[in-house]
This record gives sequence, C-alpha cells and structure tokens, in this order.
Amino acid sequence: MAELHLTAAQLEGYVRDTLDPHAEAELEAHVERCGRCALGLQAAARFELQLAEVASAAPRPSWRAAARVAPFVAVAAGLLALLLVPRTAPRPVFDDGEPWAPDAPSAVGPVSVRFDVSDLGRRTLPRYERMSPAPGSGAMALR
Amino acid sequence: MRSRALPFSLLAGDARRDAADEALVSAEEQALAGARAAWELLIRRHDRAVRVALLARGFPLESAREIAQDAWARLIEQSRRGALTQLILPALAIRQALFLALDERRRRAGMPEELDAARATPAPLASAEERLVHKEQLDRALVVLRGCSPSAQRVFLLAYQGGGMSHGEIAALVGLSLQRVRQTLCEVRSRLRRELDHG
Repeated sequence: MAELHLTAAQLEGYVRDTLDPHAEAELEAHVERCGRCALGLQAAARFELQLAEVASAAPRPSWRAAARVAPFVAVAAGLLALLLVPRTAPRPVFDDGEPWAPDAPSAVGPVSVRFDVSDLGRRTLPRYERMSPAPGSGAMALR
Repeated sequence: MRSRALPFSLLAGDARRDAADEALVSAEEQALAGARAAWELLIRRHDRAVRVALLARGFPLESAREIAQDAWARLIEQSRRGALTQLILPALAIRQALFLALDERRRRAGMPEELDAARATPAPLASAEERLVHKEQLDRALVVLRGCSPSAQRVFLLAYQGGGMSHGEIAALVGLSLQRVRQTLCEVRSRLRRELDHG
C-alpha cells in the first residue's frame, strides 16, 4: 500500500513550530525516509524565510502611537458630534398647570415661508372645453 | 463594542508585548552570564528558526538538526569564554549554524548536489538581475500585505517580525481567539504565496 505524504498544513506546522511533540516526531521520521516530503519541507522552510523577509521589509506600524492618540480622537469626535447633531430632545412636560413657554428664537430656529398670493386672482386658468380621442390615434387631444 | 474597547486593548497588548520582549532580553542577559536555564529557554524559543534556515538552504532535516545543536553548543562555549558581548537571537545562532554548515561542506567534498544551495549566502552572491527580480517580488508582496485588513496585518507582523510570536501569544496580545489568529494567518499566507509563487 502506498504511504501517505505529509500535507501542507503539517509542513507549515513544523516550520512554525506549532505541532505537538508526538506529531513532530512522526513528521521527522517520515521526512527522513520520504524524499518527496523532504523536498516539501525544504520548500515550506524557504517560504517561511520569504515571509519573514516580507515582514521585516514592512514598516512596523506604530500601534503604540495610535493607541495614545485614539482617546483624544474619540473625545474630539464626540464634541464635534454634539455641535453638529440637531437638538431633538423631547420637550419637558409640565403637569403643574403652567402655560407652555415657547423657546426663544435662535439662529437656527423655525423658518417662516411666505407665499405671494396677490396675483392669483389675475391669472386665468386653462379651460378644458372638451376632451376626446383624436381621430385614428386613440390618444386624447385638447381642443 | 470591540471597536470602542480597541484603544485600551492596544495599550494592554503593547504592555504584554513589552513584557514578553523584556523576558527575552532578560533571558539573553542571564544566558550571557552563564545561566543554564536561560540558555534552555532561548534554545526552545529559537531552535526551530535555526533549523528552518538550514532546511531552506537545502540541508536535510537530520543534518539541520545536528548543525543547529552544534551551533548552540558553540554559542554557549563562546559565552563561557567571555567571547560574546551580546546575544541577538535567532540571528546569531543562524549565522553560527550557516558557518558550521559551510565548514562541514568544505570538509566533505563529495556532498550531494542539492546541498550546493548552502554555498549561497543569499544576497551578496546574487546577480544584479536576480536582486532586481527579488526586490520587485518583495515590493509586490508588500502591496498584497498592505491590502489586508489592519488586524490581519498586525497578526502577520507579530508572527513574523523579529523572533516571531506563537499563535497563543498573538491571540492573547490582540484579543482574538486562537482559532481566529490561525485563520487570519492562513489567509494572509495564502495571499502572499499566490504573489510570491506566481510573481
């Protein structure tokens, strides 16, 4: 019966040193008698070195600096939100019979809209005398 | 909820990483002073990196294991003689192992052909063209890495920068489950493999 070969996960586990001692011993024993898996292990080791090279070439992110700045950013964002979000808090309910005192007018208070209705009386509205389909078209025509 | 707690968990994570780094630095200092337990800790921590460096250069597993052991023995001996002023691991152990490997190769002239890779101490002997290709490949891999999520990048860098941390250490540091750390690393490795294999 043909012997099974090692999987990529097993080889990766060996080079990353994440296998338990029993699995590691089995893998080493297998690699010593299996040329194909020995080559696979060498390829996995080469890839591991490549990854280490990529990691060492990558700039190390300044997590510490980010962590230091983050609380200030959060506070600033909160303040900004307080300033920008419209005040929609419910009005207090008075149950002591006091009349409701309206809010003082503010810069962003209610906007009054005025309609100019002075010329409405002078306008003549279109008058539809009769609407009937145009001959042969089936569409409605205005006469 | 996680995002709200992030800044503080980052601070705690940094403190833990600092503590881990300090423990290693302390072990290196103790090892230089001749403490056996400190040497054992450092060998447990870095021996795999030494073996992997030898395997990657084409040495068979058994040979890599023996050379790595010899390299550690040499370093311990050198520290006892006071010949070492500082320990930068695993780099120093890897250099010692590669020196021993080349030395052994010289002694055994009839070594198998695949071990010729051991002759190549990577960059200096590579041609200008090879170095250019290597640089382009590295740049592309960095682009791929930057395309990963910040969390994935962090997990990857913790696993591979410096001596590299174990999956458990990373999980404790970044506040993810062990399974999630493994999955994240697997995804980043796959993306980088596609770039490095086919680039």
